[in-house]
Amino acid sequence: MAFLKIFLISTVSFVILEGLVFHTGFYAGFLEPNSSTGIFENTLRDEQIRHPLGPDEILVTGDSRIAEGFSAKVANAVRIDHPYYFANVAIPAATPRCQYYLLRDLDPSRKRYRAIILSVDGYEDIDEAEDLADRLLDLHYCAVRLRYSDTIEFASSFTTPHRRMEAFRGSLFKGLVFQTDMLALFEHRRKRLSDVAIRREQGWNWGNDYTGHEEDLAGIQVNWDEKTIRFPDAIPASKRDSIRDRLFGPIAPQSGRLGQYRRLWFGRILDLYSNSGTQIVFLALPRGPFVPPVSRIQSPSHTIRDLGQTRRVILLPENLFASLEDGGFYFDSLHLNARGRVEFSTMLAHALRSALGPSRN
Amino acid sequence: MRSGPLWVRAEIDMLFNTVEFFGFFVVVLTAFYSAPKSWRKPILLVSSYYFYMSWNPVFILLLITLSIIDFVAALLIEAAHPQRKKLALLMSLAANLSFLGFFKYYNFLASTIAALMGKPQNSFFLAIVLPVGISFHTFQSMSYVVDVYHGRQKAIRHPLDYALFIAFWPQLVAGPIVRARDFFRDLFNWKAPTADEIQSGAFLVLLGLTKKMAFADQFAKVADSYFKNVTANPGALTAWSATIAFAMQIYFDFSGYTDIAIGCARLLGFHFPVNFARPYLASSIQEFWHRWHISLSLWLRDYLYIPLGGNRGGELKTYRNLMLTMLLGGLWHGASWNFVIWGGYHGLLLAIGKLFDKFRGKIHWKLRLDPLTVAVTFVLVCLGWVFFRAANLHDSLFVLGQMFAGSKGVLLLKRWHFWLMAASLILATLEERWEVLERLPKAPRWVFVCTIVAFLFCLEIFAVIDEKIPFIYFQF
Repeated sequence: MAFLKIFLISTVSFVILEGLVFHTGFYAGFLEPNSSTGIFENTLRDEQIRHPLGPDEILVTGDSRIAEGFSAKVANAVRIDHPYYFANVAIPAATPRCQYYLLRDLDPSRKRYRAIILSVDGYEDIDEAEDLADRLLDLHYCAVRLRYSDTIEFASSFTTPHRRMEAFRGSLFKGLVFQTDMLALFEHRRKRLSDVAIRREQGWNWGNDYTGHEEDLAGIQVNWDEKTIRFPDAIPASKRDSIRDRLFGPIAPQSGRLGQYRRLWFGRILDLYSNSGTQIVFLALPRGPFVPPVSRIQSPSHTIRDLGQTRRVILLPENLFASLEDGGFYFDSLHLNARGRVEFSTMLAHALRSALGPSRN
Repeated sequence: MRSGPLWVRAEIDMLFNTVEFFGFFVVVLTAFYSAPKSWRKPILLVSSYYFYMSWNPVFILLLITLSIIDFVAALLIEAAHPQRKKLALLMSLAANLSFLGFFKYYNFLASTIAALMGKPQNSFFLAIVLPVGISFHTFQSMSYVVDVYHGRQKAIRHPLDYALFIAFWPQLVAGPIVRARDFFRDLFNWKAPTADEIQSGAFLVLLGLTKKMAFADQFAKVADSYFKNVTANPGALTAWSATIAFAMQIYFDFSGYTDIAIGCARLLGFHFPVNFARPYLASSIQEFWHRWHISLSLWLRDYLYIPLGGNRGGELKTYRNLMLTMLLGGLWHGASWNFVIWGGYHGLLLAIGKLFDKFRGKIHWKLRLDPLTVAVTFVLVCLGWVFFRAANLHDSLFVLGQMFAGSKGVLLLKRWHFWLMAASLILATLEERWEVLERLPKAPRWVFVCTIVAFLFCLEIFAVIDEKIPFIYFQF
């Protein structure tokens, strides 16, 4: 019995210590700014402490395509004919699951924003090779945000038992997720502290002043019938491979898992805002620099359109940004360049003006 | 992990540091303590066979066959006329060594013969799966038969008792090599572990896990990345840091395994011998072998060195016996010339040490430079590890060449690796002087709790969990 007592006291003491270090956000203050968790936390923090720009703020979320393609600064500059103020919390490779945990902590009162923009590939549910539900990277993005009460729910949202176990273990004992980060901190303590301080001081400005990549893909010619691409000499080999792969790569089997995933996580985001005045808006991103004349895949489901019919959401027209689907607006097969960024931001600002109507003030 | 043409390994599933193992252990503990006393032995035997079969079910037949042979041999030895005793002993030893020789050394011999005949190395090669732990359980079984032959041990009358002695899962795959008298003393006079034993057993399991997952596996990453292609990473600093990383890996790996084995056995009411006693604090190679893999050192002493004549036949014969014992000890570890050289190297160092002791004794030379002698011993041991770890002789010589005549190279160890080493050196020194870890269960409760929490925290921060790094000695 004495041993059981010691075992119990030790376990409880460990959980308390672990919780104090990793569950209170203490360690988050030392995260490598360029790590997955660091980027996620800094983006969240920047937005939390940003001074309000005006009464009607619109928050744009998404992955690297929004991070590269949307400039809140540009969108705010066209504010002259609309009343909205934009903020961008897009994080490269962030998925709807990450966006859910980000929004939950960023806007606990659910009153801060006039609208939240959720960007998606398209309104059809087209499965890709990667199963987003089973992506362990999400654990690293959301690690600091996960509460003890999220452990079961978060872990069970993964598909395979192995990943569920890893997610469960990692959300419970976050030190396991931060191992690499901590070992790097031990190795270069001073540099880390300095990087953290610089990021805190300058980070928001870097994001806000970022203008995008200057390169473009103009001059690339795609022959859809022969499945060939002619590249100008200036396009490097790595970029050619990724474009080829994106246009003519293998098509993943369509099992409906993306639809299921979207229903779960967009559903949860909608639930967060179900009783608030914040309007949820979906936008379909421009499909890329080269769009096949006929879609390669016919999807049987369209979760976003269904949500548009059953929930209080706005769907921006799916082809709203079709004019940007041109090599001149992209610097790679996925991301808008500096020119595309300006165009997209301006178009989005105007589109929301008509979609959301007048200011609520 | 060593892999190559000389043997094919079975897939290892139930490592001591996996969730599967701890699930198994909890089930065994629960069944063992909730069952009536008469069921306990069968429970341990069935669980041991299940444990062994989780690696490779077919080889359970080998384990049972060897158990039957040695069980019967011991009975025959005890009952036989003195002249026939030897025959029974030789038959038992021949059976054990034949199995060991075939599974472990056939391909080594075949490739050596092929090389001598100028044929390709794999001319006589057979795709043999090495049964896990064969070196350990054959040695354990042989020592029992020899003890019965010499009258040091009574033959066991019940086959299940003997089968359990050979198959008892905590020591089945990588030791420690338990003597029959120790095991049967616990088995026949089994007593429930005391509160102190439960505490120290559980603490040993945690200590072993920390040694393996937080220390050994972190150093393994460095050593493995270097030794898988040594020529790609030239430089003295590189070679030294990788070798030191391996020295740390093998110590923490094997002593961690042993701690878990001893801890598990203690929780089941069995007492295994100490197998490691801070070997890197040894101030001579002789002392190193009194501290490293003690159960093997004692086995080699009692069943090889002494039967060869020990130090009874004069100086030259003593050196010869030392060399032979260490060469065979090296070969016991693995079927390759590298292990033979490693054993020979230690045999040579032991012989030199003996000679040095004699010389030192004559001139009454008394030096009090313990840290220096400890450091020199550590360096000598590290040089031996090069042969132990490198894939072949060519790689070993390359690494040694780089250590002494290479360019500067790069340090592969990070700052926190040195922290880990410093922390373990401090702990080892405290343990050496005051047996702090040994006495921990008797320390004030808050000290014990703080230590457990510290180890758990260390595990969380340093444990390698994204890679499955097997215990090194499982391959022997």
